[in-house]
Amino acid sequence: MRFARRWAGWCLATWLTWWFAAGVAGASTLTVDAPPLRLAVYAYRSKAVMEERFRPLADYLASRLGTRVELHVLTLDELEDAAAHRRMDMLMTNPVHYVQLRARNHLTGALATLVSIEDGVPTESLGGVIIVPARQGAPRTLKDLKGRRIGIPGTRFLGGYAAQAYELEQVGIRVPRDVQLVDLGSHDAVVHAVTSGRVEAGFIRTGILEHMRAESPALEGAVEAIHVQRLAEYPYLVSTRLYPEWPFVVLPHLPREQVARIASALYSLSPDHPAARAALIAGFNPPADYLSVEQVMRRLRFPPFDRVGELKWQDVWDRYRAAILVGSGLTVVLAGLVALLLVKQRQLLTERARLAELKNEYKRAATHDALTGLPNRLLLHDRLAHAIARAKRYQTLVAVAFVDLDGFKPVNDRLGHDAGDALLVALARRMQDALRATDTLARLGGDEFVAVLADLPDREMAFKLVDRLNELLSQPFPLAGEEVRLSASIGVALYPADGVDEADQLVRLADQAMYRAKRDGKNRVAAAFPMAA
Amino acid sequence: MHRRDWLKGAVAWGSAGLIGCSAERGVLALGVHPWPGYESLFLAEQFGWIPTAVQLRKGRRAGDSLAALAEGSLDGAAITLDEMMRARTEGLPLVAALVFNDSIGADAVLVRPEIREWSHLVGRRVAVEHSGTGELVLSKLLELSGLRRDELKVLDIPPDGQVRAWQEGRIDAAVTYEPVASRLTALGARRLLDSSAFPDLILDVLAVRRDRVAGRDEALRGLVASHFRALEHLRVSPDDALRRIAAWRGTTVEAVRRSFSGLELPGLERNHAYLSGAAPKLARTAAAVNRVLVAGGLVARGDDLKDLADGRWLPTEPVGDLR
Repeated sequence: MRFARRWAGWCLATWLTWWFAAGVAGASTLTVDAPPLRLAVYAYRSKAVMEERFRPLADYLASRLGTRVELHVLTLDELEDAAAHRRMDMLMTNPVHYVQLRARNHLTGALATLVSIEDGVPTESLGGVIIVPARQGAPRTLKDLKGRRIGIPGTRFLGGYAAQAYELEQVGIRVPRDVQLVDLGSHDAVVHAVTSGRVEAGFIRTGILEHMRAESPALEGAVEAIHVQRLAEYPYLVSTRLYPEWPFVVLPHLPREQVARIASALYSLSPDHPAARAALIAGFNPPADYLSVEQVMRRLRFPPFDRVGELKWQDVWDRYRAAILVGSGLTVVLAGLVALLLVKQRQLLTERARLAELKNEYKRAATHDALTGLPNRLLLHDRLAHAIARAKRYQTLVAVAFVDLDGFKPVNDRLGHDAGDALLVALARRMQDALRATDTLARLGGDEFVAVLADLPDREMAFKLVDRLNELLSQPFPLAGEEVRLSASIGVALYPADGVDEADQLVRLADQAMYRAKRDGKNRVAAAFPMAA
Repeated sequence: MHRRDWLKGAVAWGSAGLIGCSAERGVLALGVHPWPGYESLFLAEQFGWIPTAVQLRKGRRAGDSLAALAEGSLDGAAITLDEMMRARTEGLPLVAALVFNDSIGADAVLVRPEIREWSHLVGRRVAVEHSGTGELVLSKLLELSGLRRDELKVLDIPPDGQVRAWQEGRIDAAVTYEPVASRLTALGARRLLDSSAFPDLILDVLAVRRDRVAGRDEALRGLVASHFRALEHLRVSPDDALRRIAAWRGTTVEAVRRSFSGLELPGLERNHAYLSGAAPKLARTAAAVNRVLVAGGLVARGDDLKDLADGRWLPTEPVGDLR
């Protein structure tokens, strides 16, 4: 690293020495036939004034460089054209125009920055001045300028337009949108338009007012500057921030050695040299940084910064990568959460349905017999109580039939439990078929069943139903490849006929009657209280 | 700028404005005093970049800010790191939200021309601001010279009173900082020692009270951003910035340029290095400051060095028109 630097230094030194020698030799061998150097200067005031000012500077350069120097005072458009067609070698123009030219043509960077002088105070900064007529009702602040007619020398000016436009932008006034611009072509024209009342305000660069007042004292008191900045040791009235003064530019086709000699000539121009005095400058400084000018132009979207680049996804991605990633991540997370929520909700709904089912099952299990699905003792009691209550109200009759199968146990033992269970289920179904829809058949366990026959008109109807039940039960059952024959002993109790109105008591009466039926030889129906014949 | 006007304003702000007047509700009140490192805030104020929710209270010297911080009328202040640490050891929950500058020559010991070496200081009258960073500089002076504090006649005279004391012949030496250092130099004072001998020790920070800035992140962020925007202006348009500063300080552009020569102004990236992350660089500097404060007997016990820095208010991207 260090070696490389040293080597580069040595090369540079050698190169400089060589160029310097060549330059001296070149200077001494120059003839009047050598092509003249063309210095183009932008006419920011009238061409006659500019000629008078800068002719001495061209002559000074000629004497220092040992070659002829032509002075061309040009308008902005003429300058553009000359730069594009290489019809000049050196150029002095305002900073905004310089930045624009630099974007379009391959100018070198600034070689030097002009130092202006006023009352013996040198400055290498310029700014903008906002002038208004000195009378009542004229704008006094930046905000007052909104919507006003404002005279400008043109839009390719720094001190005559961009500097002021930037200040207005800072207080929320967009230029040109929020004001009425009147393009007057030159600084002098702007001052005259303000004094004559043609415009309500004017934008000019620093120094113009002071120079014009010196030329025509009548201006004194006719116009005044507003939004005046307080800056130490600055010789001019100024309404804006300061920017670097005009650059002195050389075009890239000039040989380097010549460029070095031009720079040296510029830096050694002293303020009291006639060329400097005529040009109203104190000389030239090493180039200032024109970044601040470029910034303002970018901010105001001046050409060449007025085209919004095509939006490239890559740029969006580069710039907002984090935001995009975070956003996408959050979206994914959110979607995931929503999905999770939906799944959970479904699970919950299913769970709830299952719970309801279970609840019903439990309820059923609590009130029904697991094998046959018939109501159990609990439900039987309930149904019977209801039937009794209805019978009381509607003067009807309730019969309770206690059914006990005859010979079930031997069949169960012979064919096995499963066959026994199947037999019980088949029996239950058969009994249900024998009963009406409003009747209740319950299983008390083992081979004992109870039927509640409600809303009966009379005793006969009760026994008719019970007899049919008995008959159905004695029909053979196909079971395990054989025919099983069973019978039943049935005891019957009636409400209100048998004198009890409690469900339990009624069942007990029927139970007792069933025992009598068994005792009397099975396969028969016995009434709790047989009616006296 | 007419200095007299500025002084009048400063007196009003300093003695009446700062002391005993508490922050308006919702407004973040921050103390500042004349110091080149803080000029960014004055620039930002002039350009209208300071958020409306922030109020700059202008004092005449660091002591004004420190006193107002201690009695609760400020939410934060631009002070040096050592001043912040001394306030912390006295119980103020301060944290550095921004590093304005590293002093590399702007803090100095100026002496009568006849004082040529350390030993000539024995028995001489030295002006120092007791509450301020001058004590840290004095400690370094004693450390480097081998002198004992009791060999000097130390007088509590802050920088804004030193020019007069010097002119009236009441002091032989002054522990001071810019812009007073330049004024004393103009009066014939000689530089015996300055902070270029101990860089990375005197840092100026924006110290804010943790308990007071809670929920005001937006205002503080805006203020910190305005500082960087002003720094950008100072970098890109130095001529404009220096002329403005010279105008309100009532001095020459050259003097302002010189006053900045003794300062390193860290940009956004270096500020992040100082303040952000788990091991902020500021902690290292603070440890060094701690040693000097303890050795010099300026604090009863050292700072615990916890929660010294917080980079959360720093912009994450460059500010200004170069975005």
